[in-house]
Order: sequence, then C-alpha cells, then structure tokens
Amino acid sequence: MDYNTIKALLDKYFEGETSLAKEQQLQEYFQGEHIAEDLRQYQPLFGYFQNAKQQVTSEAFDQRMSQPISKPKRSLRLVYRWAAAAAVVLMLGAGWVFNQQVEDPGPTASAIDWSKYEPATEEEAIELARGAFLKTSTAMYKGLSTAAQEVENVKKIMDWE
Amino acid sequence: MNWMEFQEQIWPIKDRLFRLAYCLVNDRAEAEDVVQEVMIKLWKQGQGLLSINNLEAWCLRLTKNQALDKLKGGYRKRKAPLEHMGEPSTAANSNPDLKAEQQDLYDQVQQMMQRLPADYQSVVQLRDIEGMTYQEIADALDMSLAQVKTNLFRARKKLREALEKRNAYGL
Amino acid sequence: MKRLMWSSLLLLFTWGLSAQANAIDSYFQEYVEDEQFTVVYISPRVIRFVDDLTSKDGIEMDDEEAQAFIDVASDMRGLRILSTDVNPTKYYEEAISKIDTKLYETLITIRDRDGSRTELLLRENTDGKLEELLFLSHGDEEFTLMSFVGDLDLNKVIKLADEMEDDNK
Repeated sequence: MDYNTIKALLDKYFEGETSLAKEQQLQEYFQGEHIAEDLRQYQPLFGYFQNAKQQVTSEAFDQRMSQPISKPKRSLRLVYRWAAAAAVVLMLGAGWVFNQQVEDPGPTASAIDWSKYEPATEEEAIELARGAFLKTSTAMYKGLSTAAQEVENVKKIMDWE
Repeated sequence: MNWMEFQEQIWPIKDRLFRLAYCLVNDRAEAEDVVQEVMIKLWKQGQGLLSINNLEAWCLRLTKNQALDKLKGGYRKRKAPLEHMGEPSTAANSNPDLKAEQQDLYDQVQQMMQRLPADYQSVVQLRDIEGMTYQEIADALDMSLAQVKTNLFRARKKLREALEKRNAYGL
Repeated sequence: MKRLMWSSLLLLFTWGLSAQANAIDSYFQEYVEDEQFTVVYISPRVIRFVDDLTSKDGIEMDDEEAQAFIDVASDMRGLRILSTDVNPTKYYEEAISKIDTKLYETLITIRDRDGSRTELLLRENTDGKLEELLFLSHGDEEFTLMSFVGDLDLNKVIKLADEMEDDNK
C-alpha cells in the first residue's frame, strides 16, 4: 500500500471513521517490515493490539474451570432454625370441625384474626421471615436451574457432590 | 442446564472475557478471578441462560461490571504491568534485541491504555483488539451507538497524542 | 344511632382490609383452626425492626444481607405460614387441589427423588402486578404452606438468596 493511502487511512482511523476491514488493513501494514519513517511512531499501538489479541487464560485456569463448579451448598441451618422457631409458636385457636368440602369460601369470608399468630418477639419474626424467604429462594434456584431429577443425574454421572 | 451444556456456551467466549477483564484490572490473576466469578454467576443462573438472547454481550457486560467492582473494592490497579503480555508476534521476532525493545514499546502502550478511563479502555479493547462492530460493542457495554463512537474517537485521540508525545520527547 | 353508623363504617373498613385476599384466608381457614398446624403470621411492621436488630446479638446478618432482606421485605404486606408434621402428603395434595388454578399460576414445580415436592404459585392482579406468592412443599416430615402477600420482586428474592448463601459458605 502506498504511503498516501496508508497515511489517509491512519488519519481516518484516529478520527474514528474506519470500518473493521480498513482497521484490519492498518494492522497488516504495521505488522509488515516496510513502515514509513514518520509512521513508525504509531507502530507500537498496532503491535500492542496484535499482541493483546493473543492473550488467553492460563492453563491452570482452564483446568480449574473445566471441573464442574460445584454449586455452593446452601446451609440448612436457617431452615432448621425456622422449623424450630415455628414449632414454639403454638396455635392458639380452638379446634374446628374439619370441612372436607372444596368450596371456595371467597376472600371476604375471612374471619381469621391473624394478629394472634404473630411471633412473640421481633427477633423471632425476622428469623422466621428469613427462613421463609430462604426456602422460597432455594426453591426458585432449584426450579430455575433444572428439574431436580436432572441435577441428581448429572451429579451422579460426574461424581460431584 | 447441565455442566456440559454450560461449558459449550461459555468456553468459546472465556478468553474474550478474560482479555476485557485483563485490560481493565491490568493483572492476569485478578482478571482470571473476574472471569471465574462471572462464570459462577452464570452457572447459578442455570436454565435462565438459555433464554438470554445475546449471551456474549451479556457476559461481557457482566465481566466489565465485575472488573470495575473489583477496582472499587480496594484492589489497587498496578500502574505498570507486572508481567509482559507474552510473545509479541511481529516480523521482528527473530532478533532478540529488537524483540526486547519491541516488548518495551508494547508495555508503554499498555500503560497508556491504563491511563484511559474504563469506558475508553473497554471500547478500544472490543473494537481494536476483538474486532467487534459498533452495534455489538453498544450491546455489550450498554451504551448507545453514539456513545461508543465518541468514546472510541476520544480514546484513539488520547492514544495518538501519547504516542506522538513519546516520539517527540523520546519518552 | 350515630354510634351504630360508626360501627358499621368500621365494619366496612375492616371488611375492606380482609378483602386483601390471600390463599390461606380463601382456601385454608380450616387448617389455621386445626390444632395439628403450626400457624405464623408476620406483619410488614416487623421489617422496620431489621435495622435495629441486626446490630444486636442473636441475628447474624451482614449489612448487605440486611439490605437485601429489607429490599424484599419492604414489598411484602404480610407473610403467613402454615405447617404440620401430620400426614404431610395428604395435606399437600389436598391443598394443591383446593387452589383455584384460574387465579394461581404455577411458577415452579420441583419433584425430588425422595418423593418430596415443592410448588411455587403466583397470583397477579388485573394490572399484571404480583399480588401473592404461594409456596407449598411436603416431604416425609412436614407439609408447609407459605403465602407472601405483596408485589414481591422475584429478582430481589434471588439477590437475597445470594447474600444468604455467601454467608453460609
């Protein structure tokens, strides 16, 4: 490529007006041995680009990553705490004749006084709420990841737990 | 999604993610950390991954954010590269003296890059190193096309100035 | 006469409140009154205490988790939990059959190898906003039914799970 063409191309490049194809031409020019004297100062930039293109993750990283990332196991601690806490909040209501009929009583039929089921302390309430959210989010994770069955199968096949 | 499927999706783009992270944090090990964190996040997304239209753009964005978080979170970016990028591949390769000299020049450019704001760096990285289109860059960095072009223009201008200054003063 | 008017107004008012439906009021009143069930109600009021409490002993929550928790919980207008260890499978099946599938849409169903099942259901209002998230699960040991009322943001729930998980690593 003659000097004038390349000079014009380089100016366009610095103006941010070159296409990918033209940028490729510049790259090739600056990789060659015949670089015009006054353009040589720009060579390191293109050399750097060329060099940076070839950077890849290390072998150790690839090895590490080709092992399944075990999903961090969520501790069940909170769930158990939740269950224990729930157990102490005893039901206060009296027995009620069990009604097997599947009739929609409608929301307006509500006669439940929920306030009497509130935990005694705020701490307990928050722990309970936390446990409840944890259960729910765990289910969401599980559900979103895949059918539980499939996870089991994969674990088994890959011998990863 | 199982592990195999996950790998198939991620493996082809991991080096590109790594290079973006590397250009931002300027440290190989830290960059690999960033990519690893991104991969773990993705793996946790599970089935959700399959519904992402443009996985690569999405991953690049995650990588950039993760890298910036790292910089914010106390990790001090090195001003000068600790290690060279690796083998420069130019016609000058055969001559060891020339090679060392060339390596030095690349290190200087790398430092110039490090002085640019993160948005400039990312745009140059994706355009000049990854060869992506403006639209692809806009998608990946969550910018408008105009922003991509402006950032690229300004970044190149700064690089040009730095190169010319270096030349003029022999810095 | 005046007093009568006031009390009927009050009645109307409370009626309005309870019309803010949740599945438990709608379908599971008898469970609430069944002595075999543990019943818990957590009002949104509690959430206000999170900030104070996390600084005390007893609740291990870091700032990020507390924030994620507040984020989720601030959208919540009530949490109701029912659980029993008596006949969990029977109650689960009964509960599932009671829920009006025209109102509740299944979000997630999980069937584990050990036979336990979990179901997440959503109810939206006419504007497409989330009104209630319903969680049902049973294993050998326990049947649990939870109703979160409010416009919960599922992304925030996932975020909270992330934070909790980080702590438990």
